[in-house]
Amino acid sequence: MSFEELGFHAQEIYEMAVEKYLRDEHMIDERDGLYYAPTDPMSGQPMMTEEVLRKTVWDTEMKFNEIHSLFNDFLVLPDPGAFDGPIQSVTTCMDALCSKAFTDPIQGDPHPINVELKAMTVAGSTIDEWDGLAAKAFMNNFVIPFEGRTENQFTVASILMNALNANKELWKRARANIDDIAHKVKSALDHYDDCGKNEWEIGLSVVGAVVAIAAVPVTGGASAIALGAVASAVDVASTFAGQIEVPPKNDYSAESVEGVIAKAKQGIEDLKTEVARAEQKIVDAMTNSSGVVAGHATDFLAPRPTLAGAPGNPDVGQPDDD
Amino acid sequence: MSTGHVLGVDLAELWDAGQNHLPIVAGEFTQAVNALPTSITGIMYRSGGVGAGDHSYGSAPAWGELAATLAGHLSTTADNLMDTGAALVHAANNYAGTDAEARAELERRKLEIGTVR
Repeated sequence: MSFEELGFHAQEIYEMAVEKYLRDEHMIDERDGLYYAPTDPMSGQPMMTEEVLRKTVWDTEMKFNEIHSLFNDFLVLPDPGAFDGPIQSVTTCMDALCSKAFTDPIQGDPHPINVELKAMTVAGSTIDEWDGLAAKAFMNNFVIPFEGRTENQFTVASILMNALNANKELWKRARANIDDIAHKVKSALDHYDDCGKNEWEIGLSVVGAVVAIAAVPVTGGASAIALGAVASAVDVASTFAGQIEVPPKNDYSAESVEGVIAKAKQGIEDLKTEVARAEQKIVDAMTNSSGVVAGHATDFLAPRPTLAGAPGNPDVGQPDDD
Repeated sequence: MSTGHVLGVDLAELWDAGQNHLPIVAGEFTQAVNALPTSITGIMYRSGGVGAGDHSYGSAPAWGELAATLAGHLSTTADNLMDTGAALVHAANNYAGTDAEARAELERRKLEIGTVR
């Protein structure tokens, strides 16, 4: 079974449910797509009229018709592979912002210095030799805090990259989990009439896919601030590994066709609840970080330099004598 | 060494910072913002409203808002660096106009240093 075959498996489950229910409740057998009324063992005659047989089959088909749409909500989900491109793009952005060697604060990966940004140090040394107010302001407001600010921008990019990574894992597991449910329901329909209790277990691994990280610290600034983040459970720094939620193993049992289908619906609802809860962690982290970045803008963006605002008359002052 | 010559050397460094070094840094910020996607709705669609947030695109709008904020900051940083660089070039050229020897030295060094981009 695979996720792509969900629609096909809904049809298989429907056919199994109709066939088994007719056999269990009405002793109507299905062979090669045709239904046969039960026969009197003594006379060999059908025990119901053709009309009753047709009506019973029709009523049963209607009873289980909704199975066709059992997996409908899951038929189109985000493709985990589609996240690879954006993850690579955001990583390129992170690399460009490395005014020194930075470590991804969420994932733990090292990012080497972008040597091109050393030009800022050279420009800073030159401007530092001029005593004009605009030159000094540029030095104090732009050059000196440059490294800290680019690190904060790098951190925001890291939060975006790790959110993509978390999404990738979430949808990979959601696809696997719904496929597992379909598989287990088919198996339960096959075995509910066996001896012993008909039980099956569904591990909702989607529960542990997204790791919520409450506070990623930001450097500098007048007050200590932190950003909300998420990580993929399979790609998270060891510091946060303890925060991975352990997926529950939900047990289901049923001893009839109707019971199995009811538990299938329950399993699907349980999965929907957990997918929503996992993705809500991403929404919360992004919303939190947007709020913090907006509320502390100068920690992420230098004020416009006076020099930049006065192209015709920049106050660079005089060069130092030495 | 004459004061005009020394001033010319200082102005050449200022010109170099504005003409070359700050635009190099600005270029890196431009590369960063160009690489950064600001929307992921195209890969986040789900047909049955499964997930959180937006019915069809889940957490994509929240992600896009943060990405757009960062993109704006990176873009503004690049613009500010380019404008600052242009102001320094202007200042060096203007200053050189006050001293013939300084101007000669500045022009000589401009040719020597060249323009990186």
